[in-house]
Parts: sequence; C-alpha cells; structure tokens
Amino acid sequence: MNCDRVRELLSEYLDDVLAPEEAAAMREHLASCAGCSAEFAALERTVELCRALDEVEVPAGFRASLHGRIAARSSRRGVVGILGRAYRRIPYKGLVAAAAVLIIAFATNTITLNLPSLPRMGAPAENKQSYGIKGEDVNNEGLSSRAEFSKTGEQPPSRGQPQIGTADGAGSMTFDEAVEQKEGLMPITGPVPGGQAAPPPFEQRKIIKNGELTLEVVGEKFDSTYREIIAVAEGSRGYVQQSSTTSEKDGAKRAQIILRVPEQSFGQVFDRLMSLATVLVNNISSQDVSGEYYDTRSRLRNFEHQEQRLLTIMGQARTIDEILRVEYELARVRGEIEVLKGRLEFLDSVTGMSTISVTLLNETAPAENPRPGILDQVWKAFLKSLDGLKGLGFRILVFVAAAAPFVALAALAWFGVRQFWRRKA
Amino acid sequence: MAVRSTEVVLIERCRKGDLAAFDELVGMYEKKAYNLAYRMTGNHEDASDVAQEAFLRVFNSLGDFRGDASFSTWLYRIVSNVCWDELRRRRRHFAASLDEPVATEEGGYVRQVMDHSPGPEESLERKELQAVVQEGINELSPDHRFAVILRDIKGLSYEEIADILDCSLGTVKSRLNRARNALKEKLLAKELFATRAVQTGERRDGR
Repeated sequence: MNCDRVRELLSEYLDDVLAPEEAAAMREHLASCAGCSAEFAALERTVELCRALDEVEVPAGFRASLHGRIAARSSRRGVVGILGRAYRRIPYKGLVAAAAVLIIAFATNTITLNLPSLPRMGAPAENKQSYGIKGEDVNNEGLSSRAEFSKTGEQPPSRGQPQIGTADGAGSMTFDEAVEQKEGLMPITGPVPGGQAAPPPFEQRKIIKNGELTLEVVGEKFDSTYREIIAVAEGSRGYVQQSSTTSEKDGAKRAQIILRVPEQSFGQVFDRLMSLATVLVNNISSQDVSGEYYDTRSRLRNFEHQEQRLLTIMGQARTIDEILRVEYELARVRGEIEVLKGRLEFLDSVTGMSTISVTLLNETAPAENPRPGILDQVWKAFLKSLDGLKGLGFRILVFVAAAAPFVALAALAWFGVRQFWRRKA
Repeated sequence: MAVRSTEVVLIERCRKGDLAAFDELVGMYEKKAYNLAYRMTGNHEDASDVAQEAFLRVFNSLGDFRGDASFSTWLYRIVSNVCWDELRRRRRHFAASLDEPVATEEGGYVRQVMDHSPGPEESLERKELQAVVQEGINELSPDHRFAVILRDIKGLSYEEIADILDCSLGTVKSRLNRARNALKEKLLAKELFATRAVQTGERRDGR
C-alpha cells in the first residue's frame, strides 16, 4: 500500500469501517511510515476536537418564535399566500376597472330599488290586471319554514314571487318596484306556475303587506262607492282604521280610507276594491319578515329555556352571593324575553292584518271650472312646481343616502389603490 | 422502544393537526436540530432561523414522513436542506454567505455553553478553543462542513449521512476524508495542535 492510497483511507481507518485485511495493511503502513503516521495523528486530533465541541443550548425565545412563525405561515397560506404568489401577475388596472363597474351596477340597482315609487297619476284606467296577489296567497298556504332555509342554505322554491329578501330575511327591502315590473306577466287567476309542487306544510311566511289605491268615480256615485269600500273591508272581517272626507268648493270630493284586512283576504279585497271604480293608482308592497319572525321566536324559546334553568339553579343556590348572581342573570333573561315577546306581538299584528289605504276621488268635469282667474292659475302652477321640487328633493335625499355606503367604499378602494401605487413607486 | 412509540404517536397526532403534539415533538428534538443548525451556520441568529424554518417544514410535510427512516434522520435531512436553501438564497441575494468565515462572538458563545470544567481560567480557554474549532468549520465548503458535522459532531453513521445528504456511501467516505483533511489544515493554520500550549495558556496571544 502506497502513501497516497493510505491517505485516502485514513478517515475510514479512523472510523474503523475498513475491511479487516485493508485495516491490517493500514496498520502495517502507519507503523513504518512517519509521514503518514503524523498525518493520521493530526486527523485524529481534528476529529477529537470536533467531538469535544459542547452542545449549545437552544435560545430562550426559540419555541415562542417558532409558534409565531407557524401561526403567521398558516394564516398566510390561506389567502395571502396564494395572492402573494400571484399578485405580480394580476392586471391591477383591469381588475380595479371591473370592480368599479360591478360596484356601480350594483349600487344603481340597489338605489333604484330603494327609491320610493311616486304615485303615477294618469295611469291607464283599464290597468286592472292582477299583480301577483293571488300568487302570494298560494305562498301563504304553508311554506317551508325559516329554519329549513337556514339549514340547507337554499332559496325557498320560487313561486313567481320576487325573490328579494326572502331567503335571508333582508326584508327591509320593499319590492313594490319589482312587483310592478312584473305586472302583466302574472295572471290574476290561479296559482302561479310552479306553485303546484306541494309546499312543505310547515310554518307560514310572515309578510307585511301594504296596498295603496287611488280610485275615481263620477260625482253622484261617490258616497255609495265610499260605503261599498267600507262594506268590502268589513265583509272580509276587516275594519276601517281611519277615514276622512274632504269637500272642495268646486264640488270635488276626496276620501281617505285606511283599511285593515286579514292578511289571507288581502288579495280578494284588493281586487274587489279595484273593481269598484276607475283605478288611477295602485301599488302593492310587501315585506318579508319571516326571517326576523322565526329568529325572534327561536331566541325567545332559548331565553325561556334559560329562564327555566335559572329557576332550577335558584332553588339550589345557597349563599347570598349565589342567589344574587342568579337573580341578576334571571332579570337579564326576563328583560330579553319581554323585548322579544313585544317584537313578536308586533310582527304578528302587522303580518296578520294587511293595510290598504284607499283614496277615493270624484270625477269633476273640467268644464265646471270656467276660466279660473289668472292669479289662481299662477298660484296653482307655482304649487305644482313646488310639489315637483319637493319630490325631486326627496328623491335626491334618498339617492344620496342610498349611495353613501358605496361612495365610502369607493373612496376606501381609491385610497387603497393609491397607497398601493405609491408604495410600488 | 418506548421513546420510539411515543414519537410515533406524536407524529400521528401532528398529522391530524394537533398543535400540542407538534409542540411536544419540537421539545424532543429542538436541541438536536438547533445544534446541527448552529454548527452548520456558525452563529446563533442563523441557527434559530434555520432550525425554525426546518420545524416549519416538518410541520407542513409530516404527511410525507414515512416510518422507514428514523424521525431524527428525517429531521436532520430537512435541517440540511434548509441550510442549503439558505446558502443558495444568500449567494443569490447577498455577497455575504455562510461560506465565509463567520465571526463568532465569544461572549454570546460562552453564555450558551454549559460549563462543567473546574477553573474559570481553564474554562475560558476551553470556550476559546471551541470557538476556534467552530471558526475552522465555518471556513469549510458547505459539502465538507456538512460531512464533518454529521459524522464527528453529531456522530451519525455513514449510512445515515448518505441518507441525509442524499448521496452514495462511497461519496460519503471520500467526502468525509477530504473534509477532515481540510479541517485539519484549517486548524493547523490556527495553530490549534499545540494542544499543551492551549491548555497552559501560552496561546492567548496566538489567535
């Protein structure tokens, strides 16, 4: 074995991993060769020094810092991690533009839906079709319960009823506009197609319905029509909540009647009323409060259950402190129960009885007003403009209010984008 | 055997997302991982970074761990990989790299070491000696450094080293031989082999 080969194997010899015959040859060579022997000693010493190195202690904050990194990593992984990797490739300008378009579209839609519908004077008199009232009645014969929606997360089966705020209880949105848009599409008679599939006979929808009618009759029929309106309401176990009649000097009469009728007969009553005279304005709005109603009810049940439990606990309380604490809880729970009960009663009353407000006018021949004075005309024109202005102001106000959140959102987004560009620059 | 089975149970629990189990596992192995990282990087700051990153990878890829290798071998492998990645990253981004000698701060080092030797004087020499050895290791190329550390500091077998460094047994042998020789040269240059001199304190001015 020559020195070169020996030096190649020194390390293995040191570790004692050589085959026995090779090891023997090594031993032999080292015994006779001073150079290789010195080399081996130095190598041994090197290894010895390494082995003598002490273990170092893990720094104190190591684990805490690791925990922090795990937390940071796993949260980043979810969303930011993916975004982070992709963010350089995102066409920001396009995305922002698309988002802006979407927001504007959505805002416009929401705002339009929120705008109050102004009375449409001069609506065609023969406009007597139904507005889906019967369809809603079908709906009311027993629909899937609120609880079921929330469990499955599905929309209730569509029955031609405008699907605004039905599933999620966002009932604050009126859908009179939506109803109006659908007029003509929905025939008066019979259930709306799709309504045949037997709805689960569970609990009823809770809908607040409001109807508004402006009727016009010829002069002499005014009083009889007025009586008939009231008779219709009372005939369906409804009542007159408020009624007022005013007569003008020129013979024009005006009656304002607010009727409350049972919710089930709302459709029939509305149709009967429309058949009594020429319809100038009709308007139906409904608000689905099922979500709120059944939420309130289940919360009430929970609190009542809690009250029972607290009463049991009260029986077991020993110390003053315990009693006081239970009593405090009990008072709080009972307070909640009162509030919820009140809300339920209110909802029951507004959904059980629908409101129809009828304005009855008598037709006055224009000829009966020969030549109104110039001042009169000016005054009327002025008032008319003022009225229009008032309406406009009102609409603007509503528009501003409805747009405010979107403006805020847009401002926020704009700031964000600007900040982003700045940082990038 | 009992240790092995708790380890298996812990790993099983970790896979199900049990953070407490992972924490226990870290507790069992943090010292090993940290020491390996410390020897490879030569300073505490990088060692913390590397060891933590290694545990993060362990956490994220426990699903890939099959029981055929021991957990510690697997962990060492990950630590080595993290070190490699770190080296590569630094080469790309910074002029400074782990290849270059890292000045070990004596102070920090001394604080970390448990001291069982008799006199303060001698123990200081001991620390100093160890610091110089570490310096020598730092000066090795990464390949050589890994080989020496795994074999002579961590005391792993050739087979385990081959597994960790993902190379053949023959490569481990030759690499280790070259690495030890390289280290020997470095230490010779630092006059570390006048061992008696070191212990009697004559070498104080030498470094």
